[in-house]
Amino acid sequence: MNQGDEAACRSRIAYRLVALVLPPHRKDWADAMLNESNYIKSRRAALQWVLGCTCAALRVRVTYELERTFMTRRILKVPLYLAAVLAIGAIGIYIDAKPYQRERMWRTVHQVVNSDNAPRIDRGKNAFAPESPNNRVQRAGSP
Amino acid sequence: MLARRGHWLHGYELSEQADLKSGTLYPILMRLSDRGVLESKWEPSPHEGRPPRRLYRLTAPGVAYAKEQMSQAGAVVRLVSPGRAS
Repeated sequence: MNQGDEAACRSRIAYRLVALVLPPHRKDWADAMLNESNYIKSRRAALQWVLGCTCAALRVRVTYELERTFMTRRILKVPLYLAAVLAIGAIGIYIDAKPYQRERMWRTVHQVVNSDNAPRIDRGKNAFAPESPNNRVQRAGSP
Repeated sequence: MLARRGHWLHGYELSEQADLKSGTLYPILMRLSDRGVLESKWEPSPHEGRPPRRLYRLTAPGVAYAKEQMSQAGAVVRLVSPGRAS
């Protein structure tokens, strides 16, 4: 296989890959991108060009899919907006809460997240401190 | 591209002039084309057996947009470092 045949083969493989990856409305760009590689004299530069085009096709596809998923699907828009409103509300309540209320909130969150490892004993301010031998001694010695 | 407005340029030529890799250049060209600031056409190859190439140039609104962006960038440079602006 001479250099020209090799370049043509490489170009065909890359074209198929890029045309497959690009979104439907961008298919004509596959020709525009890869035909250029036939005019690049350096073999290495041509290969870099083809690799770059493949990366470009992947980036365009990812952007297209993300836009289609998050911006045009109304089914996903409603839960996203709802979650955003709830998060803002929760932050507002937390900011407005008194310190002891905040501590209770954190304890509740901690219990929900780690329901198996939640601290069963109320240890006051050190409720979330790791169980150390000193703590254990103190509790054992306390009346 | 603004310096050679009116001239059609190949993708590889653009890549070398702008010092951008093909992976960066083509998504930009696609977006510019969508916005109508870039036009393109196919050029048949003068060499036997070689595929056609696509040529690009700025449209009239594209030239106006590029000039505006360049003047804004120049204003920022003058603001940040007055000595560098020429």
